[in-house]
Amino acid sequence: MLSQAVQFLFSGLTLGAIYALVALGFTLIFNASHVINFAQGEFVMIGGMTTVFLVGFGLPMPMAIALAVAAATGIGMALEKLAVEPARQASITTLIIITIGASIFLRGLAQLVWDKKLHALPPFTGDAPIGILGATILPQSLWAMGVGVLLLLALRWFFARTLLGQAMLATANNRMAAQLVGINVRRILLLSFALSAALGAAAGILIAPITLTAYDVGTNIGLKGFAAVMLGGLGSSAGAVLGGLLLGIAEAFGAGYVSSAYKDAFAFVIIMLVLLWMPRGLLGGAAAERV
Amino acid sequence: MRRDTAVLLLLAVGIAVLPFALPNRYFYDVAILAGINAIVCVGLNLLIGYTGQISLGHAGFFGLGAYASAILTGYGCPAPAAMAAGAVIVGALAALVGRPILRLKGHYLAMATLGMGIIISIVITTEDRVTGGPDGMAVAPFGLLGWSVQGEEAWYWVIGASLVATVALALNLIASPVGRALRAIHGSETAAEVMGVDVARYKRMVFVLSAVLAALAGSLAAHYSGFVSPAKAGFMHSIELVTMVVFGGMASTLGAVVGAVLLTVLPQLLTVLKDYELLMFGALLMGTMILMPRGLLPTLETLWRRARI
Amino acid sequence: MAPGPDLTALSVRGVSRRFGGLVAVDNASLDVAPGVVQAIIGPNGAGKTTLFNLISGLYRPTQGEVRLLGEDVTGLPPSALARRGLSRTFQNLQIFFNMTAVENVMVGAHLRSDARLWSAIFRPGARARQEREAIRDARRLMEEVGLGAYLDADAAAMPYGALKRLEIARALASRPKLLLLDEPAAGLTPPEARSIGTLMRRIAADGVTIVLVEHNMRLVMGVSDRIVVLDRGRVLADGRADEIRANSDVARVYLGKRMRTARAVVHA
Ligand SMILES: Nc1ncnc2c1ncn2[C@@H]1O[C@H](COP(=O)(O)OP(=O)(O)OP(=O)(O)O)[C@@H](O)[C@H]1O
Ligand SMILES: [Mg+2]
Repeated sequence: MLSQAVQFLFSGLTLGAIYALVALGFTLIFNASHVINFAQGEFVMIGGMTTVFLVGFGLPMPMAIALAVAAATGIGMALEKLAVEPARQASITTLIIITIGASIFLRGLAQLVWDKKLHALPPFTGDAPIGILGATILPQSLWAMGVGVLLLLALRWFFARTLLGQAMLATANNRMAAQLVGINVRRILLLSFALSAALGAAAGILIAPITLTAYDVGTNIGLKGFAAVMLGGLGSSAGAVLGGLLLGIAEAFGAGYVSSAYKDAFAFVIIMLVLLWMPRGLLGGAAAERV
Repeated sequence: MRRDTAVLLLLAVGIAVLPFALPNRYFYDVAILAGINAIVCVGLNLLIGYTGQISLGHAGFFGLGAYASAILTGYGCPAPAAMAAGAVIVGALAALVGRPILRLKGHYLAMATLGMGIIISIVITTEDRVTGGPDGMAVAPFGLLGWSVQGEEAWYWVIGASLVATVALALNLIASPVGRALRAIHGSETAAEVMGVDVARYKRMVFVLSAVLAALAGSLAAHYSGFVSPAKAGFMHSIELVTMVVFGGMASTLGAVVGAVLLTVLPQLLTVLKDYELLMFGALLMGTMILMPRGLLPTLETLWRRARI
Repeated sequence: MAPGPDLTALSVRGVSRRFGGLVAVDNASLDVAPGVVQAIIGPNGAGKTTLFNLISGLYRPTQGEVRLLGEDVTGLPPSALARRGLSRTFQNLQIFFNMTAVENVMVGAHLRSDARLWSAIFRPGARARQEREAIRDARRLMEEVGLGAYLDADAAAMPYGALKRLEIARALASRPKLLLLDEPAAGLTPPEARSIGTLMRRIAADGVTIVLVEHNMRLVMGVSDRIVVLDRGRVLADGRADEIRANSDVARVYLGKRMRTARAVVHA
């Protein structure tokens, strides 16, 4: 009994770490630009797929990973420059459609550059399960959780301790004021897409050995990440992490105890129930419109 | 009012003469699919374009309508009755779900409608004893008392007439005090409410109306193609529908029709590009929306007005 | 002695509203007799707009009671209050920028229109005449508030001063018994502000009870019968306009405000 619960907790935390990284990507971009980037899942796909193919070409894993993150980062920046920046005055709905167009484009690109097959990335450090409390955990899960935590800490340090991080926070708080004190808001925007793409790619690389990857895995994981952001409350980084972990754990336990066929539905049932009571998510602030 | 009559006439004449330009069954098929999408989009545009409330889950309603027809006619229910039952079920569901979720705003509403659509499509995929699961299920032809709609040409007229009726309904609605109230909600919910508009009620009403139109279109689509699959209720289909509305131009009924037609025909044209299809579609979508953020028709109208001055 | 409930157009009794730790309106009471122009003045952040939002149903009071024409309306939604004869304008303009000016005003007449789904969809012919009348009414109202130049304008194309008047026309279109005006002269030139004063007197002469929030003291003193002074959410003074003018507390509060304004100017 207990061992089973522990088992579900492990897989929940692994998934949760991935969702949290994707959700943080959404948050970074939203805070800088008020755009919800529906191509966020494609960064995850690009990270996983690029690594798979570079490793296939015989590159050592660390180098493949570095190049894959770099590739995703470049694409993220291109997305900002070519698609989001030119459409700054467009309505929310139009911006959603533009980023959806981008996600379709990137999927099409992936299918051209690579193929439509499922691919497995070899685990970073073998696949011998480790026993803990009667449950087993894959070394790759430990990698996902460990690197996830490290990335979170790194981000926290970045926002708390670096000038650039502070400038990003200031822009998120009040764009106009940030501009007035001399922050280059456009560069911040570019940076947010770069960081967000890098986070997504990292998530994709960490999870690829566990769940396989393909040109179209981005849709599902992007939607889960979006649900995680909204669960936590749009704009809140702590909320994104909380939302990601909660959804990951709920999904694992739901699939284990309730129904594995409905695995993908739990996240959405939860978000809808939470929004009934908290229309701005768990950590979202109060609405601000004054008349 | 005169402008609306002209739009309606233009559409009816267009539908009436189009068959002269349709060389074979394949073209009829594309026209029918475009018409079905247009019916959904005209309804969805009332919600998104005019009232300013996004829905990323309308394919769920479309799918429920389609499956209601498929399942009920499978049990021997007459097709029109099955279709009506589907519409009633979807209307009731939309009213029920709409009450809480339409209080949400912006991205939160997008999230909730998206979640609702995904849950519907997962239920359809999973409950395979009634729905046939991921493989879908066959649907009986649309008929009553021995008489039935058969063949592309007959379906073309059925869909064409339904589309004209839907557009007439939408144009009437928008030109009325109800339409004005809906647009007021888009402009400022606070001011609309203070002016006596029961915002919650109107939002729910237009949500239900658009859901019912989607369900009816779903039923028609199911009978026409003789087959339904869960993809019709899925997230990607919801996105396609919203994309059509935004592409054609929000808050323009004719725009919704144009968007639906173009984005139905375009992928057909792009199939000749084979592997480049997705790439091109994504690029075109991005490019159009960046260049014409208000959508095709409103942009063209502005250009036209400027050209005449 | 407070007048009996049936004699007041509006009665606010011990109303409070908190935002987290901040008490924006603190146990405020006021009675407005029918047909008068009642001003509410006070420094920035005193809680005037919040009080309007409480009266018009946009906020629920944390405690207290609001009565409209003798009826307890506490907690009713704004649309229900509109049905009972209340209308208002907004300090932060709430224009329907997706519509024409005339359509904005027509929304004000929403409750008098046939806004049933059925007739909207299926009886366009029967509706056409009513619509023509509604358009004519709206245009006449626009002319009455001095918007004759904008009869065919899109709201999005109108200047700020005209939009302030458009809000008044829209509010009047509902034929209110009680009209709340939140800083109708803010941002206007002195001549524009004076003509808003003239307009208000005309509206009042038609028997509409007006509650006015305004910082322009010349305007306030020119049109108001009674004045309530609000400071930090509390009613500091309540009396006839001439009494308030002579009140030293009020002078102190307003001197404070003027110094703040001066500082704001220096910083800008
Ligand atoms: N929705 C809200 N949430 C939180 N605080 C609010 C809200 N509305 C108003 N407040 C606060 O309540 C106080 C009163 O604000 P209010 O807008 O009522 O003042 P006011 O008298 O209208 O000021 P002004 O003359 O500047 O318009 C202010 O401190 C304001 O910040
Ligand atoms: Mg105010």
